[in-house]
Amino acid sequence: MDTAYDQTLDVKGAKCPLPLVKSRKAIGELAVGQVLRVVATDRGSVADFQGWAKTAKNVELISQETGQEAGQDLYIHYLRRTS
Amino acid sequence: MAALTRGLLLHQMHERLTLAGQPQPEDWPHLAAAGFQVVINMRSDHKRAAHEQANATAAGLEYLHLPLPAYELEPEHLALFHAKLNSYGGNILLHCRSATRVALLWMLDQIVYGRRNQAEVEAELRAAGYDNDSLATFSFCTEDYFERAGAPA
Repeated sequence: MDTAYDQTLDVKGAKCPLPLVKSRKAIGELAVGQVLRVVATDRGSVADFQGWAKTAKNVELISQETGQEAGQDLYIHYLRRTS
Repeated sequence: MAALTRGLLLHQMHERLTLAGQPQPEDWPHLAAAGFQVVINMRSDHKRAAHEQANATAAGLEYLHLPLPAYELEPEHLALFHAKLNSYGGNILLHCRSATRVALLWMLDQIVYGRRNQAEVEAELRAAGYDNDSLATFSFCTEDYFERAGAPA
């Protein structure tokens, strides 16, 4: 089942910790309850987003998916702003 | 350092500090033989760090796990980093997964505590082998830090 989201952040090509820093800024601009979809190419972003969600006070990691685009692996993260 | 496992990212900043990507288990004895005495791991995974600590200390290296939230650094994180980095006497290998987080921390440390110019620190990172993408990452994250923490005096 597709996860519903309110906004997409494209961080393809960005290196750690840029996907997280940009996501933190983007989620701060969403209303509480809204969902951010983050599209990354960094394999390490899977663990990085899990770690962030464990420690952040206002973020819930709803799901993570993998995909492909033009032969490149994509790592897609869905995050909800909780407060 | 020719004996080190191929593929391990190493960026020597000065004679006592090298920034690195993730070492593999077979790297630890080679790192000790290459003259490193201290390993500081900045990755967040505690389970991985426990395994790593066992391998590194078995090779005779002093080990510190120092996970800091690179996505939302605060002045107290930087203060802790500065204190730990300057608390060891030997040659230090400072590592994360891809040697990017550690370089960001080092860059902020040099600007805030070393009172150095950002362009000068960036030039040093470039000379140590960091590419344009990495430097753009450091620049963005440094700007984000100073937006929240206030610009250096």
